[in-house]
Amino acid sequence: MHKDCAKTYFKKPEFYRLTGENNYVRIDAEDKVTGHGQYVGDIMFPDMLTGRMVRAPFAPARILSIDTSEAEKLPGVKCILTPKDFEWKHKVGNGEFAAEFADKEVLCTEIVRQVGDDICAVAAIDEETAQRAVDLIKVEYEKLPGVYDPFEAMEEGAPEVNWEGKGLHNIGMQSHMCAGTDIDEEFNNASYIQHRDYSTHRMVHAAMEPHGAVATYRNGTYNIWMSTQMAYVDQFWYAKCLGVPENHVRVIKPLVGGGFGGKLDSYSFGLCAAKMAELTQRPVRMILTREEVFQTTRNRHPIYMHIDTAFAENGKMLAKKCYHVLDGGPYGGSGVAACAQATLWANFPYKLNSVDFLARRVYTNNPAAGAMRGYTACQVHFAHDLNMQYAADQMGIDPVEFRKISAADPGYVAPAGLHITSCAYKETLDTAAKEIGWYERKDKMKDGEGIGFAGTGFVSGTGFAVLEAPNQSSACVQVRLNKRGMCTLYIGSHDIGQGSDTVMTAIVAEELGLPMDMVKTFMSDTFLTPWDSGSYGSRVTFLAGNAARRAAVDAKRQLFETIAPIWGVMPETLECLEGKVISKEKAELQMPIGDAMFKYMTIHGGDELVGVGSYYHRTDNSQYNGENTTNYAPAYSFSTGAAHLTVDKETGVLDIDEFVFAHDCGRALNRRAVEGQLEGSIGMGLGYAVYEHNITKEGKILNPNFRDYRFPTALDMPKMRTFYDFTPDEEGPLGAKEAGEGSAAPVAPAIANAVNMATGVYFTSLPLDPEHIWRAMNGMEDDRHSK
Amino acid sequence: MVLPQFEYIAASSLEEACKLLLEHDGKAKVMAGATDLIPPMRDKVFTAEYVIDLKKIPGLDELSYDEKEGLKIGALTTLRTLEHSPLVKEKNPAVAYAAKVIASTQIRAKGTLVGNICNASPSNDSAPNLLAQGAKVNVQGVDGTRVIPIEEFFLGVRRTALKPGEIVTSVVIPPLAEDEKAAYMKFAVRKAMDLAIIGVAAKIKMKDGVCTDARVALGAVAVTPILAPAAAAELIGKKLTDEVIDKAAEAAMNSCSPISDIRASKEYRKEMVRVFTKRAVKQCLEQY
Repeated sequence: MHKDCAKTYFKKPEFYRLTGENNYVRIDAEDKVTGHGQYVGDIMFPDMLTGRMVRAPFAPARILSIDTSEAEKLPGVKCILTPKDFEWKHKVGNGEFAAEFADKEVLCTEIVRQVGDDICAVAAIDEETAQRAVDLIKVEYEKLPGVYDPFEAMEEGAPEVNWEGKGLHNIGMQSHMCAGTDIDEEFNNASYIQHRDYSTHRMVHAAMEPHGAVATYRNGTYNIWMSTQMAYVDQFWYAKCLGVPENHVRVIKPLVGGGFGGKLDSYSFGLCAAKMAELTQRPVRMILTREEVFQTTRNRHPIYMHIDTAFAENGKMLAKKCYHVLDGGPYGGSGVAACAQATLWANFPYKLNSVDFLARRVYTNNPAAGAMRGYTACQVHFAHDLNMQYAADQMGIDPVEFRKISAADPGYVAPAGLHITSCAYKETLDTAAKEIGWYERKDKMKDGEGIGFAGTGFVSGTGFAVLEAPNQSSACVQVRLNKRGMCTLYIGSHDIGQGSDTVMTAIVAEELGLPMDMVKTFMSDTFLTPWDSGSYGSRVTFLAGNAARRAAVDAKRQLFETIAPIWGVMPETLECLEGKVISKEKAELQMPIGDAMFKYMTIHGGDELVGVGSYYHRTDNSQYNGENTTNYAPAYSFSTGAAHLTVDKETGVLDIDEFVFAHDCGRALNRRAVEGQLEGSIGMGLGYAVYEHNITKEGKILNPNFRDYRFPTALDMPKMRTFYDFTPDEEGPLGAKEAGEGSAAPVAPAIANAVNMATGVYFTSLPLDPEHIWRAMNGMEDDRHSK
Repeated sequence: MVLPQFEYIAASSLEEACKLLLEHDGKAKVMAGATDLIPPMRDKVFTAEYVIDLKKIPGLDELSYDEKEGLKIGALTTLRTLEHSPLVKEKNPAVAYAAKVIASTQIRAKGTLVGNICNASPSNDSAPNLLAQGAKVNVQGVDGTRVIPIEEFFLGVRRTALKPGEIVTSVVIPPLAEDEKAAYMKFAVRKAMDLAIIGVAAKIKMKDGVCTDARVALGAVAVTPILAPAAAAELIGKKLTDEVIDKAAEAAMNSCSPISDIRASKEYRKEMVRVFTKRAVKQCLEQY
């Protein structure tokens, strides 16, 4: 359905009940709280085998030989896959439009590119036997020279990581966003110009649930229960790599214990589980260890950022150039779009006359990077917001006022083609400044005390559908009503813990005027539910939510068109409210929805009522291929974070007194879920800013466990207050915009700006762990983790 | 990771446990809370063909206080018990605090102080207090019992003075006199679930405003937890002014040579020894 068609029947805000009163619970709450919820690791079959992967101990290397003979002799070993089982088929990638550039072999045929690369797979009667078989497989390697620094990798003569001599040396992806007025002229006319360099480190998602899959093979069909954010994209790549049509691959997403971008790639372990299920005719389960999750899935790109900025005398930002170098590791996958996104965020949340942004994603032998909550927004906003703060300080302008001078407004169209709809960025700045006590405190700061702000913007519903789709439609929903007025909802969207199944159910229940338990929701199963491209790009509430609303409204319209003639009124004067179909004009005209449905089916020869809905944001692939001047998303969210802290100058330890978060998410559909997302963002952002750091040596992660990879605990969390009541977005479902991903971005720069104020040092890299701060205050170089 | 196969034996008496340990010397490990045993075995840090569990042996979970002998902590007394015991909090709050800052609630509910020292990790949080307060380690062997002064207990990383067939049955910490105060400071990045970057324990005795005795012990700065006698020497016989405490802190810093690892560099560890020696001594003083 085109996005404007259904609007006649959209429920008006005065009739909102569920999302208005906002006091409903998650549909999976009881299952999760009681431990009955089914995650991949809970799926059991009586004759199920356990799978394990054989992984490369170092990289890069050439595989000289693989000897499985000893492992084959081990009783209980049922299947061993070697690279030969996949070598004739397709490599794994991400976007369908770039399928020919897919660059990851399911099992390495010759060259190993990263530590932990997939070499073989084993299925055995239990985990112990599978692990012993893995230990018995002898792989002979020849070590090859590697490259672990993206700048060295770009040099001619550096070892080729995963690059076939096309374009610039070892560059897997390049994105150039160049638009607006003559940029040289803007810089020539500027009254203040600055040139700054920043860098960020490697972080992992650390989702509670490790990655895993259970696969069966029945009647010529692979059935794969997968801890995934993109079941339909998995289906596409699995079909290609298994060499069968998509109608032989059913991917089912059970409950997922967190994704954060780490479960967007179609990993080899799931493919191997499927292949071994076929070969053994038995179910195969494969759950990664935490160490495997660290080393062999994905992580947040380290990015090196150079920024040149031009300002007018009054502090207005005129033009910006930047050069971002992303350490991609040896594979693309979900990481390729990071390059284009790293230029997109540099626009936000400010007005600019002219932009010239270049980003390069470089192949190295470090662990492969990919999507992670914010998809490079956390890195880019860290650098670009610190860049704003530095300029404010240099120009002697109050940092809140300085940000407001150039802040984006509703309706602003950026040179690179971004159309901003609703925008409460300035209001978030004002709220954060007021609530953190900026104006009372700023002239009375003690030694070691600091307040920092950071302002960011994000997409609310990226348009990119990953797979080719009509009109780039990425969310389809169906609604079925039976003779009792009970609704069955089929959604393809992926709840990975954020609560999207609940919000989809609530949107449909709201439109149909039904209580939550009259809507039964079926989700994320590629044979059962309609197409949806997945949980990424903050698209679920906005795109799938709009699709769900349209499906409900399509059902409502058909029901009204049947009931209205009986009552002798126009269908658009009816509404569904509190379990009834009512006339908005004549109070005496009303009927329980069950009776209305019974009537509908009687009139329509017994047919149940089906409503369909979809939603798309029309963009094109230019964002990833070529010009990069397009409107990425139907709406954008805006945030301000504010941190008030003191630094222990003897130790470098931060004591964060309070973190205030103001986030423009349009209208909150589920207030508790929004607060959970914002507070979770503060936790993850704090981890990024201070605690979490993947330390690598020659591509091997030295701290692949929760003892040495220190994300903050509950005791480390600061006091938090969140504010999110800003203007509803006209296009958003019931006025909503995203509230879970862009919100991760302003945390680290707000903390860093506060630390800068507290210490007088301008930090330009993360993480701000105590030793980093202590070294900087003592004028010592931080060479602890240099490659 | 998969736990390797081993034989589990629940000993019913100390004599049996010691005999088994001697019989399988080099191939057997003693288990109390298992929190420092099972994870490293799973991660293949070490192996054991036999695991001898002490938990069925009666009397090993003693926790008592004697005016003369001091605080006696049995081999099966958990860290969680120490953390919450009113007795420990009253008689030796530094010991209760050191127990509380180890790992997580779940681990403390299983893990023991004796296990913590027998694991002999340089960064263990139990040892600095024991060193600063001159604890004694009671040991049972096949041929009888003996007492090892804590200063002689640690030999290296994961190495102790225990001989084949010997098991630690308890640790005894001498009583703190009215004029003696002790403190432990753990420095770590996280407020829970973290290993010490460094740890400092101090014990001081004050008479008429003058320090008459002092001991300072350091964790995570050498292959074993160590005493810093040079730091104590700076305190003894003096009024504890800021200048005196600073000199002692400096001496503590200069008496250790930590390593750099993924948790911290050696120069940061040294500097933190200085900062936290100062803070530990001051915390002792605040208790008067």
